[in-house]
Amino acid sequence: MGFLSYVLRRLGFLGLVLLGVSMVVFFVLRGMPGVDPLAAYIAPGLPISQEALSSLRKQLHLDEPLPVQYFYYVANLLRGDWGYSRTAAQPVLDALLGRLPATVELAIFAVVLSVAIGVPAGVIAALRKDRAPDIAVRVVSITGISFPVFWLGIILQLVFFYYPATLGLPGLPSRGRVAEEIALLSPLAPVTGFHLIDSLVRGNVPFFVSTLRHLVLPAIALSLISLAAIVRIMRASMLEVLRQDYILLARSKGLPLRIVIVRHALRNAITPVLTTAGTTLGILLGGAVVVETVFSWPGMGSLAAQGILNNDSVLVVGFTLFVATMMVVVNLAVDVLYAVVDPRVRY
Amino acid sequence: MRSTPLSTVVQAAIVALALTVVTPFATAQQNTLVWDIAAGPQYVDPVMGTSAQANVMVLQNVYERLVWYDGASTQPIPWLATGWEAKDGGRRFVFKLRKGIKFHDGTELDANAVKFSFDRAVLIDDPTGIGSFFPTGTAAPGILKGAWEFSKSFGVGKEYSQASVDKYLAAGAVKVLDPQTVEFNLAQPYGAFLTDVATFMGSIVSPAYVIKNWTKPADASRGSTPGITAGQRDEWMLANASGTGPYILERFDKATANVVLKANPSYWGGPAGKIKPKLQTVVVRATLDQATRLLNLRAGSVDIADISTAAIFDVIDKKKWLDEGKIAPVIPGVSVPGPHPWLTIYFAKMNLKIKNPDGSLSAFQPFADIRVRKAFASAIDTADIRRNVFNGFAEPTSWGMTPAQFGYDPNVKAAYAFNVDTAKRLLLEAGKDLGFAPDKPKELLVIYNAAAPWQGYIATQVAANVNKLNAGLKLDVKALSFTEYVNSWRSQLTSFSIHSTFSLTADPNSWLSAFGTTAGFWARTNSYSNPKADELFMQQFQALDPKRRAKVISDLMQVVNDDAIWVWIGAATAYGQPTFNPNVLRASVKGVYYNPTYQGFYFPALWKE
Repeated sequence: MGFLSYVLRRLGFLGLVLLGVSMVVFFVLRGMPGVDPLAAYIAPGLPISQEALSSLRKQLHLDEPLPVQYFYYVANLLRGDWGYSRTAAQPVLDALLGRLPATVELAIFAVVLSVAIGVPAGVIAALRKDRAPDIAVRVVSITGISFPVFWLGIILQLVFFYYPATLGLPGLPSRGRVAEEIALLSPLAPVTGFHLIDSLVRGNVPFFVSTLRHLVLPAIALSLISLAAIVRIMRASMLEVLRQDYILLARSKGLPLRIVIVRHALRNAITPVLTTAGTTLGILLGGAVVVETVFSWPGMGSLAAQGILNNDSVLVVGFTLFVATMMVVVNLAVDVLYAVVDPRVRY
Repeated sequence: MRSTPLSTVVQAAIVALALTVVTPFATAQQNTLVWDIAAGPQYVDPVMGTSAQANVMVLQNVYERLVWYDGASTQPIPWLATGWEAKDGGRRFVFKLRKGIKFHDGTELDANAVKFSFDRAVLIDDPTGIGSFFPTGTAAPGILKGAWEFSKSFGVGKEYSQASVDKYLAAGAVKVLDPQTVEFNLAQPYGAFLTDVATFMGSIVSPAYVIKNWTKPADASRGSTPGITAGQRDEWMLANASGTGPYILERFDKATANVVLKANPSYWGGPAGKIKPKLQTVVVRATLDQATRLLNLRAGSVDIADISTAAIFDVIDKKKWLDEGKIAPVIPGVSVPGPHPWLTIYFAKMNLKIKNPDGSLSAFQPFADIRVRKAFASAIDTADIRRNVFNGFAEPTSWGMTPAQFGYDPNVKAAYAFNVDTAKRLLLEAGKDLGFAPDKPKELLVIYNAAAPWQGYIATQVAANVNKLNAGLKLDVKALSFTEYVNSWRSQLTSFSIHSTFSLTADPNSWLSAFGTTAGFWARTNSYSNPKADELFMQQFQALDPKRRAKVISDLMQVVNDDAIWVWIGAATAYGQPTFNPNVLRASVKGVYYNPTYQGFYFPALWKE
């Protein structure tokens, strides 16, 4: 089977998976007994006439049987009408897309951070297997992932923001994506929505520095979600590669250890890590809810958290669907990329 | 150069150091105020209803109204107007406007701007609720003439056609008599008209600014008038503003929900000509996490932070508050003003017509009998709830109103007091007629919103107290998801439920209607109806004389209390400027006073030392 048909087959599956996701999400929204989906559209406590309620019900097709409602729901999804969010005061899809760059920027930064730390740590652990560095790396990575992210976020704020501030020392910001005074004094006209890229393109140095400073703490907090996985996979993969004959050959040729590790072992061992990094990117997009809330990061995650607090089920369901779609797409992209990169993979 | 692990570490350290230096926080500046708010504004258009403090906080500093409040007073005084006159027994109100007031876009305030602003509120007809005050006046249809007929959201309107727009405009709800005089024509006399005009929905916008940024609807069947599209939100005005207020909306970022306000250099000075903003910049930042807000306040990087009542004991001494009723801040440099009465009440509701899920009436209707209602009310220890659930931030209340509201009468009598013996006696008596007794008990369900643990405490207390009586009723408590909970009480499926509600104005009209009239918001959800109360409501609604109105309100309160339909658990109190999210301040912030009609602070009053 050719590469193209493999991709097409995977795209077909993608459609089926998304249909399944939309069904689950729809029945969570509409199918549960005793839940009036209309409640999501009304601010409780504010007066609204019975006539307006029934006209709203009709307008949203909530008076039709459930399968018919599902049909309308999918048709609306495909048309890009994901409903209207009370929390964001705009259509759900617009709200999510508008906040997507902030979340992606944070997630990519976190993945880069966890790869930058995780790969060397994994290599060191493999080279010093069962010795002090290996145990230390494993303990630190497991401990890191065992702490709740929100707690870790608060600790980071304490250490890098609060204590320096109380001691009159410079620190890192505790919240937000850019300092308000920078946004006011050196405003940034958006190009891609990614602050780091846009500020570089526009040559806006203060904005770039401010964004970078704001990125550090949430990115560290978020990177810990994927760090442990990357360390462990890197370690296992490296151990596997180190046992291969060609490593023995390289060593017996008298090549320095550093060359053997970097040129021969690492290159072969890193492929599964890149796959993991790709898939964790998807996980981080969903996992950003907590980190974004703690650091008031204006991404999809913090919006979804507000939606939950605000009983905005339309938004929460839209977010779920969006993240699920992204996960599936990222997985597909990683698989396809893997097929391209690794000649051993058959379609 | 070959990179070594050491050089990498050194490089990383230099980058880290470089990142930590630069830009001190804006708060270091004396003339800048930074406020970490729990939720930022969603939009800043005064025609949109909202339950978010931040939206209105922006509105009340950027826009102004014909009448408003001076300092802590809740009596409206002329603001953009120089005065008013009620004519035809309260059917017409004529306002004279001040001269020489300019909008932020440089255009001048005149009678046309007033007409434009009110017509805009009616014609946009947004279902979020605020327009409802003018079209319907809650229980009594038709405040502004023609609005009830036009409104699809709150009245009997059917379409947003050009014909319906023209019909509303022709009804003459708001008329320009001359450039400085504007007349409001009401469908009936309305005693609380001035208070409604004083709310944020009475904000006057710059017509020139709105029209300049408006696009005529492409759909020919959609009615419009220059600057206003019928039944459609104005996307530009959701995020931009041009009023006459002391602050200019400099920046509102919808994604972050952060706001920056700048002092208006050509502000006219308010009614006494003395208002001059001292704070040049106000930064309101949506900081979602409470721990982060508290940390920022402690570090002194913000001047004001929203701290929920549940977390108040991180900020004040718990023992001193609960034992002595004294607010004693425990963080150096932080002040906590209050407590103040708040426009929020907690209550329980008994349903006179319990329904089955198919909409039919349930066979067992215990609350149709006043003895059962009184018994339930007597089984609730409201004092315990105020102390243990609301941490003392609630006061006893004689009705579903707060002491901050006009007409509140503390002497109105309740039909019950906490007494389990009375409850038992009443239930045993009622059981004989309703068919329940200790040996043949009937079951009832008490519901609460699972997301509101305070309701769970009350529900459990009622159930435990009634079950202990062994008087023939067995109560079960069920936590429902928010949507199930709303559906359950809206559809009258539940017998007994627990609620809180807030008011956007200090005028009691909406709550008198909600609890006292057949068409009222809450009364509709338990089929409460008393013709005498309906009549008294209309009398106070139309009364222009405050003394007479207050007397009628007292009578209405008593009539409803005698029916023992509602259990008044408490009127909320709070600290800071507490609407929706109470807040605490750095002690360096001065000029704070409390006005229950404010939503957030009025910034011209504040300064920093």
